[in-house]
Parts: sequence; structure tokens; C-alpha cells
Amino acid sequence: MTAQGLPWNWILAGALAAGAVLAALAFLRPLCREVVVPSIMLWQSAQRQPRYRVLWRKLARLGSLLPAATAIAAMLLTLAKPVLRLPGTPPPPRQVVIADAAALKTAYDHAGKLDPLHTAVVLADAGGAIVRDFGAPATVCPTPPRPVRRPDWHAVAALARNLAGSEGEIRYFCTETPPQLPERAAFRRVPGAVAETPPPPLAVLLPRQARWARRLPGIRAVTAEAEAEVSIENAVSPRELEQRLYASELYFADSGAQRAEVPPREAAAGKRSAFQLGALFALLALAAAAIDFVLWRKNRIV
Amino acid sequence: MSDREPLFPDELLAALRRGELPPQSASDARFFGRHRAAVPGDSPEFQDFRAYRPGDDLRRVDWNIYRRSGKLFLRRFRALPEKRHWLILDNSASMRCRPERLRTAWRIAALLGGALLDSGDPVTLRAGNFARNFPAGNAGAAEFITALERCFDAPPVAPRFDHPAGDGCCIISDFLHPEGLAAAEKLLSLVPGFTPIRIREPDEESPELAGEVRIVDAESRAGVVIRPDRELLRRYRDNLVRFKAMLKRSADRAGSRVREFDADLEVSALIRRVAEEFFVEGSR
Repeated sequence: MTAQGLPWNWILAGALAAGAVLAALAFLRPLCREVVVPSIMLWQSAQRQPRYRVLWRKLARLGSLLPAATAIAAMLLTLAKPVLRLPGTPPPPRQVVIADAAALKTAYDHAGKLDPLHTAVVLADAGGAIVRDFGAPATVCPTPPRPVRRPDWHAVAALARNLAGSEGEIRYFCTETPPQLPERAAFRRVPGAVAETPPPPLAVLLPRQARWARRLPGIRAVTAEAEAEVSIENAVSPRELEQRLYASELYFADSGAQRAEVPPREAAAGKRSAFQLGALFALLALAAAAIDFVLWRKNRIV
Repeated sequence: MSDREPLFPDELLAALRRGELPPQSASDARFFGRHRAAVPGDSPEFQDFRAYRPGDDLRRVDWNIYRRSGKLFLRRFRALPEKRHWLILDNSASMRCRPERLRTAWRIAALLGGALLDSGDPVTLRAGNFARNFPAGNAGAAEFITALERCFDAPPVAPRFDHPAGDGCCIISDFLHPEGLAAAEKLLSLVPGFTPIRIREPDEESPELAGEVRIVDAESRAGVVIRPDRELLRRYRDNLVRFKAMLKRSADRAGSRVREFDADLEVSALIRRVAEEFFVEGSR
């Protein structure tokens, strides 16, 4: 399991601190409240219980800490945004998200949904600047430097390829179309302040699979002359290409159309190897807090 | 009832001065004052006639009857023997746990003592280490109130309930014993005829304790940690019932009944309650 939010050492420190405070509150509580009464005569014999009941009460008292501790742990885990990778599945290919200054926020949000261990974000600023490295927690989106220099798309692509490796994938989140997509890359146009201009044709190299590419879900138009349309090399099998497009949830640009959308329903149909557990832990925290509240109410004297 | 409230407010002193509490006449006294004796005495109160026997005092012969019937009858009068009353006040730490408890006990003592002295009975007051006799009459009543005020701030001591058998006795206490119910019953079983007047907390049936609390005995300073859930409260109330039953048994043995007063009673309500409990026709 990996975390996308707070790093694990922060989580551990938080859990230790919260646990210590909780335990201190639980065990110091009797020392805090002391009431002088005329006599304890009537209470003393009422308090006497069989040994097994005394033991049970001690256990129950410790047990009453459990919902509160669970709620705190679940809240911390929710903040950690953990991702569960199913055992036996191969590690996903590295993902490098390239974003220009205007699209950085969108790109960052998208990167947050991916596996943090295998995702990096590069800002298209001159030769490219890494704003989030592999394994770094996706906290707050950084502010791009002012002024942002004009990107050298070749240098940015080279940096991204260097980070992603030969098997990794590159995703462009830009307000304008990059001049050429490298291998294993996809592009998503992000509406920005820049005036919409028709993008130049994208380089696609799929000489033998052009006809098959028409049948891909969501791709509405592929030119018959398959010279420079899709960035994925013909070394990739059609099946693999299909799976990646399903999983990508991206817009796939072609030369003729402005963009071709892979509908989310179809995209979600792909096989998943990792799951976000944040919502699950949030629910667990709520349930544990509710149980703790009910137990607290139950033990109060009306 | 605040801490600064005077021990004996004007309302209470006025009630004592007006003589609201004493019985109407000595012969009607149900609880206090001079009491009828089985044998005739020499009080001015007429009882009955009896036939003259040689050697009787001729001054008691009723000559009117002799004139009408020609027979000699003697007038007999009631005997109203003087009876000493003991007022024993519990001055222990448990009674001093809250000022209201002790104040209410002292006020009840003032009302009873004042009424007794006014109705002609001498009173002995014991509060902690303080003990003193008071003669009947108005002067005695004034001294009694002053003595009560003086011993109010005395250091707490364990209560002593012993007194001479045959004298009347009221014990004003909470009757709580740090060693438990059995010890309390044993202590009371040794006391000759007495009337228990119990000072109780208004919330003793449903104590306002929430969460885990360490309760400390005001007398022994021993502490016990309790978590007053429903089960514990149920057992506590059972114990309270047992405690009240024990007190009732002790009062039955002593030929009286238990009177209970809330510690937080206002003065006017207290005067009314004391009158109802001790001076209304039919009360013992």
C-alpha cells in the first residue's frame, strides 16, 4: 500500500501523538474528577463485584478506547490517501505528466489519482522542470514560476522520456497542442486563457494498425494515411494499446479532429490493478466516531 | 441557601419567640412538654375522684360532694413529672461535607430545643465535644440558641449517641458510618430510646455523577473510583433502601419513627416541616 497524501512517517508520528493523547486522557480521567461525598458507605458495597466482572470491566474500559483509536487512525489514513496494489499484478509503467503553467493545476489533480510511486509531474518551462518526483506526496499544487519561459518541447519530451524510461507513458496536459507527441504519449487539451487555435497535426506512427485504430472506442476519426497519427510505436500490440487507452481516461488527439474523447464509462471498464482506499477509511472513521459517541452516551447518567 | 446565610435567620428566631411550635397545653402534648403520668400527682390539673380512706389528707376532700351526698370523696390531680430531653447533634465530617447539612441540623435543633424549653422541659444539648444542660423557661431558650451558635464552628468529631435511658432523646444526624451499614446498625442498637432525625441530600436517590469519578469519604478520606452506570446505580439504590430499612428498625426498637429532612430546606419550609412532624395531633 502506498500513500499519495501525507507521507508515512508523518502518519506514524501523528498516530503516535494522537494515541499518546488518547491514552493519557483515558487513564488520567479518574484523577481529574474527584468528588467529596458525605459517605462512600452506600457506594462501596455497590461497587463490590465478582472477580470475573472486575476483569471484564477493565477489559471493557480498554475496549472503549478502541473506537476512538480506530477513528483517529482511520482519519490519518484518509489523509494519507492510500493506494492498494493487488498482489500478483505487475507494477504499472511509470507515468510522467507534462503540463504547461496554465494547465498545471489540472495536471496535478490528475496525477493525484495515479500511483504516486510511479508518477511524476514536469512543468513545461524552458527545458522542463520536475515539480513532483516519483514517490513524493501529492500535497498542494506548487505555483509556477513567473514569468514562465517558452517551452522547448523537444527538451521537455526528452526529460520526460528520461524519467519515464522506455516503457513509461507520457501525458501532456496543455492549453496548446505540442508540436509532436513522443512514443507512448497522449495529449489532453486543457481550456486555458490562451486563445483556442486549431492545433497542428500530431505525429502518429502506426503504419500497419491504422485500420484497426478506427475501431478503438472513443476515437472518432483517424486519417487513412497512417503516417503520423498515434504516438505509440507499432511494437505495441493492439490489445495492449486498447487496454492503455481504456485506462488512460485521457483525450486522444488525432490529426484531423481537435480531440477525440474516450468516454469515462468505457475508460473505467479497464482492468484495475490498484485501488484508492481514502473513501473507505473516511467511512471507517465516521463509523468508529459514531460508535464512540454511542458508547459515551450509554455510559452517561441521564 | 448560600454560605453567607445566617445560621438562625430572623424568620426562625421570630417563630421561636412567637411560640409557634410548643403544644397548646401541657396535657395535650404529644411529643414535647410535660407528660401525663400513670400515677396521680400534685399538679393543678384535675384527674378524678376516689373514696376517702382513713389517713388521707382532709384538705383534698371535696366538701361539695359531701354536702350533696353525705359521702367523703377525695379530689385527685394529675402527675406531670419533669422529663429531661437530650438533643444530640452529629458534628462529624460527613455532616460538615456541605454547609447546608450542618446548618439544617442546627436549625432543627434550635426549633426543637426552643419548643421544649418553652413548654417546661429541661434540655441537654450535645454537639461533638460540647455538652450542656439548659433549664426550662425563656432564659434557658435564649442560652440554648447562643450555645448552638457557639458550637457550630467546633472542629468535627465522631458522634456519640449515648444518653441516660428514660430521658427523651432526638439524634440529628445523617447516620452514615464510614465502616458500613452493619457498623451503623450496631452503633444505633446500643442507644436507648431515641428519635432519629436524618439529614439527607436532596439528590441521594439520583446522584448527579457522570463518567468515571473518584468519590472521597468526607469522614475517613478513603476514596473509591466508580463509574456510575445503570447497574451500579441500581445496586446503590438497593443499598439506600437497606440503609433506610436499618434506620427504621433501629427507630422501631427505640419506640419512635424516623424523621427525614432535606439538607437544602428553606427556613419557612423547615419550620413548617418541624411543626408537621413533631407538633401536629397524632404524631409521636
